[in-house]
Amino acid sequence: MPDAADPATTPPEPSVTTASPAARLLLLGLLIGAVVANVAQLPWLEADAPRATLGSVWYRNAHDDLSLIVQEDSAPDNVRERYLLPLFLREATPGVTIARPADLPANQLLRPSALIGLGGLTIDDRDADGQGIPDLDDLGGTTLLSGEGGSMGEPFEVRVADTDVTTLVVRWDWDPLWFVLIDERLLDGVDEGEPS
Amino acid sequence: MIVEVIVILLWIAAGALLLSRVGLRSWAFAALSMAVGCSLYLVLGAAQLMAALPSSPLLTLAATLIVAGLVSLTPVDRPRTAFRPGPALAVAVVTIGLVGFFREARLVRYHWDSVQYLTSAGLIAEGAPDRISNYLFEARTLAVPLLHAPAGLNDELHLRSVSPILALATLAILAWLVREGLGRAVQPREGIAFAIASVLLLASIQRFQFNAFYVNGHLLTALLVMLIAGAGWLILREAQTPPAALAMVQFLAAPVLVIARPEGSLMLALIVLPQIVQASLPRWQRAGLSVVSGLSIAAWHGFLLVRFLQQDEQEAWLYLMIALGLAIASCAALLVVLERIPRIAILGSEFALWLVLVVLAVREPSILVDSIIATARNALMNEAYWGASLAILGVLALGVLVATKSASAEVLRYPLTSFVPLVVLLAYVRGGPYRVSPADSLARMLLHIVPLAVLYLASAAVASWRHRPRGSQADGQRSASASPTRTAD
Repeated sequence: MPDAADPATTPPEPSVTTASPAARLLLLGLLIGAVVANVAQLPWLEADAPRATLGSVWYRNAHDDLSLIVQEDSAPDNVRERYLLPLFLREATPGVTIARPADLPANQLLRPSALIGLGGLTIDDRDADGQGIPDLDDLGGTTLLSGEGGSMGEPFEVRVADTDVTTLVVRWDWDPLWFVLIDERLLDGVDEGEPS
Repeated sequence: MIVEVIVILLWIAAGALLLSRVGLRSWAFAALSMAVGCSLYLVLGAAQLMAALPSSPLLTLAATLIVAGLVSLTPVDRPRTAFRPGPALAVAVVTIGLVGFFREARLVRYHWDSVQYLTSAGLIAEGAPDRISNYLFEARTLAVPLLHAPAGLNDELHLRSVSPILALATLAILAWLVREGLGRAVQPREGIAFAIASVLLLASIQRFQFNAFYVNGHLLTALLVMLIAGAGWLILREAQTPPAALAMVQFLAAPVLVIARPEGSLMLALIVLPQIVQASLPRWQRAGLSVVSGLSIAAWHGFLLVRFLQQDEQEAWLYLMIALGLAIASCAALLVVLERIPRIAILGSEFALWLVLVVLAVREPSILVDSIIATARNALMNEAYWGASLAILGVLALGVLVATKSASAEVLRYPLTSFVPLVVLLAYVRGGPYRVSPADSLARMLLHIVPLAVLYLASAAVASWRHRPRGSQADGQRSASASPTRTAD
């Protein structure tokens, strides 16, 4: 590359250097070997990947502008990749609060078995500033009574204490990559009966 | 779907206008156009927001096309790339097909951060960016929200096909960089073989596949890192692509990297440094890169600073970042000095990073120890689904580092090796160690250097090998099978 540099500061002409054919062949072989190794491990990597997401409830950053997003989804026997994110995102027009939780009778119990045994859920108490969610009273809702989660596979219950609750933020503690929560179907016809 | 098709075609068209202006000819023209056009859109969108102009994506898209069109009309002293209707039509058809396929396939990965990105995107699309919290601006920056903001035009919150199409563009651009960089120093068939092997290597990494569908900024960052460093490498390699075209790619990608991730500015500094001090690069390119990079860093953090101050929040690190940006920009006036001390600058800065890390580690060893343990489990023991891919890549890169010598590959090597102390330092900056999880920041950030690492491996094909296999030619001799060429190595 021609350079306008002062001759005194310009480095000497670069020499011609390329790897030998044998070295290049070795390098190419190593690259292909790496490809083979990567491909060979894909099946068990896929098998280890988190399987299902039921849905998600989240809140907006502004306290006066909460949104509930309900995602349909994906039972474990579904193809894992088919998270229907767009489906629920379509519902998440900023500023619009889907009224599902408000429709719930007070003290409604979401049946944990309907969470398809994923369990391991914890309440994510981060707020928009990542510092811990403010008291839900401050958010215009009332109170999220409790969230109990066991280890993975154990049932999980969320009790909604008041019809004014507009936001639940929940994620799996064992793998926050795949956060969660309420499948719209769970909110239909739920009762306080035993998990099915 | 129509909105998404129009947006992506517009990005490609804008990129094509710019690259045609600088005479770029390549089979990867469409992929490069996507990267360049998208970068121009993001730069203009960020400028729009920072200038408190209306944030409608429609305006940004219109501005992108207008700016690209105006630039393409400016006079040039070299032949432009001729417009060819056939390939253009083919690109349009393929793009429409890809958008349709990826929208219908709905292969989407996401996690908490994704929703935060899309929160900002929604507010931008609504014309209410002032409601984006300082936390979101600081932690999620602007590139990903701007990227998905046009979805709001269709009452959606993200463009489903953008990440997969960017992933395909990344693979195509990697192949192009390898092919161009090896150039005539190897037989054409060999060059193609290396390009294909490199693409397969990147595509076979599970985390790359994941990020191809993940609503986040890691893939974009990885593409930009590879593009800025790789373009510098091509100029050094005297590739067939005009330096003006490569510099244009760099000048557009650099500001986008600043707003792609919170640590984007620091990564940009690591990429720019070995190029600024490289006397074999043209001074206008080095000056341009330092000014564009430095001012972008200063401008973005100045914008953040104003927002924080408006809310009576003091963030000392923003002052430091502004100072860093201005320092990088001022390097444009010191090129004559810097090019006299390239090794001191490169080794010294890398040593300084390690030294700071050692000092911090002595003061608070738990962050370092916990981060190392967590990262080892994430990266090497499959806690973050990297499988063995990072270990393989790391061993190969280390082998190339030890076994080869290449002046031009320094611009690829330095961002890779200095990334290690940088990310550990970031753990201290944030005040907590990395953790064992696929969602851990570093576990995800590792992708940022993966395409560049693959390019670095391929660059060894034209490096001088310290330890040659039995029966090979001596280093410094041109391969008997290779065509004559002169390289910067």
